[in-house]
Amino acid sequence: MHTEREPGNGVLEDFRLDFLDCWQRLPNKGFFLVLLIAWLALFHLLGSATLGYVHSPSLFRWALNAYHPTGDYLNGEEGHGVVVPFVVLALFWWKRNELISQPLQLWTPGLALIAIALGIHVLGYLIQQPRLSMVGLFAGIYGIMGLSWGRAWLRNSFFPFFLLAFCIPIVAYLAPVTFGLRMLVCKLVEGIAHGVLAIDIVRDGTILKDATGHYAYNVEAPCSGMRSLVATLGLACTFGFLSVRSWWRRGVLLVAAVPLAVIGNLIRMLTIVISAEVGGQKVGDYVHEGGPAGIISLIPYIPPFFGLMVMANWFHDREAGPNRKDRGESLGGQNACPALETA
Amino acid sequence: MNRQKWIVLITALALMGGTGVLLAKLHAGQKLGNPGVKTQPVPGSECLEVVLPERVLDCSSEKLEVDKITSEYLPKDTSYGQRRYRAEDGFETLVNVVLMGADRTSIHKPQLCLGGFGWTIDQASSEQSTVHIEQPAAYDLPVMRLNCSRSPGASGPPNARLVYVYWFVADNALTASHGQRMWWMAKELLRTGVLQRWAYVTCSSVCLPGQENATFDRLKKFIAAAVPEFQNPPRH
Repeated sequence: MHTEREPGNGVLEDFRLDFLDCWQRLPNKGFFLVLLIAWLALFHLLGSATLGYVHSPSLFRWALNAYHPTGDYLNGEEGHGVVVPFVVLALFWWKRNELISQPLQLWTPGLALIAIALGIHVLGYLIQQPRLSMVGLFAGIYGIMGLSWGRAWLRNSFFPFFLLAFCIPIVAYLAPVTFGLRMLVCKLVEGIAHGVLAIDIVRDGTILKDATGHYAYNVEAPCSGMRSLVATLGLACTFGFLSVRSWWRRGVLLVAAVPLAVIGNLIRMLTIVISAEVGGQKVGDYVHEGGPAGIISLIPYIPPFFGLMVMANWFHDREAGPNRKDRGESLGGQNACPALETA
Repeated sequence: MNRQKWIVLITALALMGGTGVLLAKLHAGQKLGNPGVKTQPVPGSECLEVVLPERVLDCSSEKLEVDKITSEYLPKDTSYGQRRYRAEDGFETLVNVVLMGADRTSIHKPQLCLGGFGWTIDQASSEQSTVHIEQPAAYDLPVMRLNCSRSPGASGPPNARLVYVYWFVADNALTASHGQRMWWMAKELLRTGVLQRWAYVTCSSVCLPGQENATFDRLKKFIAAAVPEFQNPPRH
């Protein structure tokens, strides 16, 4: 039964009607929900074997602590882990018509996926590696979806489901990468400050200081740009799957995320240095802390966002070719991304 | 729901329930291995004390208590040993041992604690090295050397440098690599069900800029003399 929208309906009412419509058309709901609840309960009660930093057997509690120990997720390097599940849900909603139009039915090989996921979790639990258990958690949810709704659902939901990989906290293992990024940003700031801005700045490893000692900044791990790099990689994945068909173009977007993230972080560091040069350590600190409402903290994300959007748009146009209007509608069963539509 | 769905549902739930029971049993059955350092019990506590020598070469020492932040942050079954050694010419070395219990998160990376104490690691000059130990059996101890400088705004002389040397030791296992330690621990757990009981040993000294190599050489001599007193040698 397809619920008809009326012109006078507001956004919320349209959403409610759409949701009810999808809910009615989705089979095996109770089956899926029972298994999902049991699955989440397993990971809540026997999810983490390490009772160190957070004394809880729950994998979810462990993950929240890994994202940030005191709950300040906005400022944590792994804070995006809290947001990603909602982004994935939103993308599932965006793809709802495409998913529900698939032949949805019980698919018993899904049991094998669940068994494999359980095996991964047992291994992770035994060797006290909760990150491995998180892989098992997400693999199991994927398996439960497959069991409930079939192979076609799995194929079509791979994106956005795989974005949940960004929920696995790995920054702690990326010290060589974060150190490399920090050094690169520091060297670039030093070069641009000297060569272009005529600012006499001294670099001592990852410490940037004024030659007269009026200000000094230690580009520590949180300033490495890892946060913006992870966010940029997530954006690249999203743009890649929303706007582009070919895998090599998606790869190019992913690779482009790295220099774009570096450029974003470089601009932020230069902003701090210029502010400190003009107004001293206090002004530099103010800019470093984010400025009014933290708006300056968004600077690292501007180049990646616009850079990726332009690239994805260009790839999309190249793929669409002369029949641009038709191809645009076929990419997702609906317009791929309203933001990228050209006139 | 039809009969097939009921069967599939019950099978899936049985898989999950069975896994839960298996996890609980396997975890309870894990045995904690022996430490690779010498310990003595602490009265009234499940933890142990790592026994460090009172004198090493010409250095006398004072025993230090672990700071409250560290003891509250790390797992409750973590054991410690800490001494500050002072030579007759004033050269000081801090030796710190953190011994895990049943929770491997006691063993943490120095990046976690050094930053908190106001030091910045100079990764470009950090390197893996070895210290030759003669007693009670000859072997090469793998160590990691970190050169650190004072973070801006941290207390203490701003031009101070820290030479920080660390390694990991368990029963018949020695390494300076986190990755290798974790791999060995996983392998041993799966192979024998024994959780290797790792200790994280650090030796550090503060020096002036330019004296890092000389300080490291002196630390190596100190380590070569101290290690036989508190660490079990590997069995070949």
